[in-house]
Amino acid sequence: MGAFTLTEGFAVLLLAGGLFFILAAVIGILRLPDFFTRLHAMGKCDTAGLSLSLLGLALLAGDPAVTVKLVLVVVLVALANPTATHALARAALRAGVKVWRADEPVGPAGER
Amino acid sequence: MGTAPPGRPPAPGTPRVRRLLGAAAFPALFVGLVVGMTQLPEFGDPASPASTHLSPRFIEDAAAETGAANMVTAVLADYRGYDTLGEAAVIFAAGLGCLVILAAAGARPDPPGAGMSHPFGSVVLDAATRILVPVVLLFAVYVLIHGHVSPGGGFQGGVLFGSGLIMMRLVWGPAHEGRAHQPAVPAFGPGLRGSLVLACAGILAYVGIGLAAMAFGGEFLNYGTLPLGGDPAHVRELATLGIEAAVFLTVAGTVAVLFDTISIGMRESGAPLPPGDGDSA
Repeated sequence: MGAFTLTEGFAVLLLAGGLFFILAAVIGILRLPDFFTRLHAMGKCDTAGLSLSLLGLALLAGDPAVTVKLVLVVVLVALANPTATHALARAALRAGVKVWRADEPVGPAGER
Repeated sequence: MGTAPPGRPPAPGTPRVRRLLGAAAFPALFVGLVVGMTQLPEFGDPASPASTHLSPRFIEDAAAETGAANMVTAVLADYRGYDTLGEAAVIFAAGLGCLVILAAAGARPDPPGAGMSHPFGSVVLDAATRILVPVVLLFAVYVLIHGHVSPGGGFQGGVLFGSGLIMMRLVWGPAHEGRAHQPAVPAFGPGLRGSLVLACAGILAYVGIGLAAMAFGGEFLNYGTLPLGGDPAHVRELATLGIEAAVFLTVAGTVAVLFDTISIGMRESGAPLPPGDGDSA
């Protein structure tokens, strides 16, 4: 085991956190029953996972220009990803996609 | 080309001569193309003329002759300017075709609730779009200008700019409607008519630069003769940027025209073309 710096340690922690959230998003999409619950899993966990991973990479980048660009991408993702999730949910609601309830379950495409 | 719609037998009125001509032209073209194909050099043949003469010439001289570090830009906008003019014209023609076909279809009433009958916006979308759209538009211009030294250029930048225009239309509704009904909506960006003007201006600028080169004693699209000062490579660099900007305008305008005509074609009331979109002021 070679020694690693504090920066690298933080980067590994961030990357591991990012991977955890992305894994949670994948499991959520596979396991949750309908469009809205899957969107709920994907919207939050994707944003968190991507942001953490990119921050970890920003620590590892070395070149300050690359670090700044990666941080800008994080800002863009944090802004655009939740907005896109909101737009998708809104479109689905307007299109009449049915909401899953425990007493009246619906399929992934909104079918009873 | 028969007059019958695709997928149906020719209407009884189709002239016999035309059908015979078609029947004769197909085998002739087929045989000609197949025979011609056997004469082509192998793909990736290092001994073909394209590999032994053309590519080394571009690779060795592009930076010195055109001042463009990105060789793709040098080839696309300078050496093969004719080709790129054709590509821009094809995109422009596609936009015009959509305008003619879909805007005419928009005059037919569609089932209620179809398509974007009203803007999709919400408070969240409005706030995010106000922040995101300027970034997208600015980045589009950066991609256009940076095409000289890095991947990018007129086509890519134009599509980005067009997607910024589409984003505003998605959230705030068609550019020609938002102003009147929603005074709070930012009044920026061309409507359908303005986008069409942008696309036309792009094509005209492209041809205009080519003709200007002729007027100063060169060939069409051979920019070296333009009186822009400085050494020939610098002149070509400036002219290439002009060409890329022309492509940018064409693509951005056409993308917006495509979106507008499609959304008009999908609307429930199905009004034909709007009389004016208020962006001429």
